[in-house]
Amino acid sequence: MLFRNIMYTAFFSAVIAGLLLGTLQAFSTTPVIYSAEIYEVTKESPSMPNTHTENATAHSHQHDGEAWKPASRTERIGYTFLADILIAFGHSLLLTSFLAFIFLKFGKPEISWRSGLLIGIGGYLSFYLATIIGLPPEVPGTVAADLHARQLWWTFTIVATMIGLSVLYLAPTSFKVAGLVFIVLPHIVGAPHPEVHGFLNQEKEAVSALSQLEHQFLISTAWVNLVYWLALGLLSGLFANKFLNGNASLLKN
Amino acid sequence: MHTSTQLADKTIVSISATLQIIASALVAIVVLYGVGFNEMDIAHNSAHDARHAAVFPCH
Repeated sequence: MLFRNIMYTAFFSAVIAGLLLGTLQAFSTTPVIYSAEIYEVTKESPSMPNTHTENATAHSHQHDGEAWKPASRTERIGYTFLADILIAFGHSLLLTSFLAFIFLKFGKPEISWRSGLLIGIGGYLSFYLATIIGLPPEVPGTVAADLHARQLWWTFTIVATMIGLSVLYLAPTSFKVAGLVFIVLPHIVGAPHPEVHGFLNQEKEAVSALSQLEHQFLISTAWVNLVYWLALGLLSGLFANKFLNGNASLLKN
Repeated sequence: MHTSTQLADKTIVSISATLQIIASALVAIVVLYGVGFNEMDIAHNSAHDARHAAVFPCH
């Protein structure tokens, strides 16, 4: 059954790529997030640095620390790994479904680690590169536009970029320009931005530290996500080749 | 008779393959929505660092 085999493919790819992602993050992005949280302002003491970094810090919009949160640093990293595996499962399901779909409809490319790698690059371009053009990676405590507006633009950008890349890859030469239109469209529409870019904590020291952390976060998310998407694409192609082989020949008839 | 049965079979297989692919893509969307966008504190706080690192809009 095709559905079940796509699930298997995504499951195995996600466990490996998710563990890889979690490990890379633990040494790169996560320390940056923790450092940024030191400067987070709380409701009780505005502009006072929050130094309780040993425990996960709650954000100001979470009603005064009553909400559930991981109890320790270790537990918090554990949940990050779990979330990473789930994200990887979702991403791999999309990649594998897409591979199976274009193979079904267009008879190309062959499902293998090579086409997986290619589609992994597509995932990086859509989910990372296209979105950060409008919404740069944020450390906690950054002033941002309305959350729902950003989620909407973010989702729209990913969908448009995926459609654009697919058109570039699959459409006849004379239609390829339509692919470019899809890719450029979200950036013409423009991402929602706050009136002024800045941080919730406006102390001079905090702003300079957070600006530096923001730059560091951009660099670390860029390479961590690249490695992750390449690995996820490659693994999805590899496992899809194994699990969908029977289906692939079935699709071709 | 034999040919038409074969054709019918092929049509069913092809439709169901497309539907199965759509179904798996829908599961992907539900999972990503749950991990990335769910605003319940338990979902937000446990996936917080992963959301930031994977550049999901957060907060």
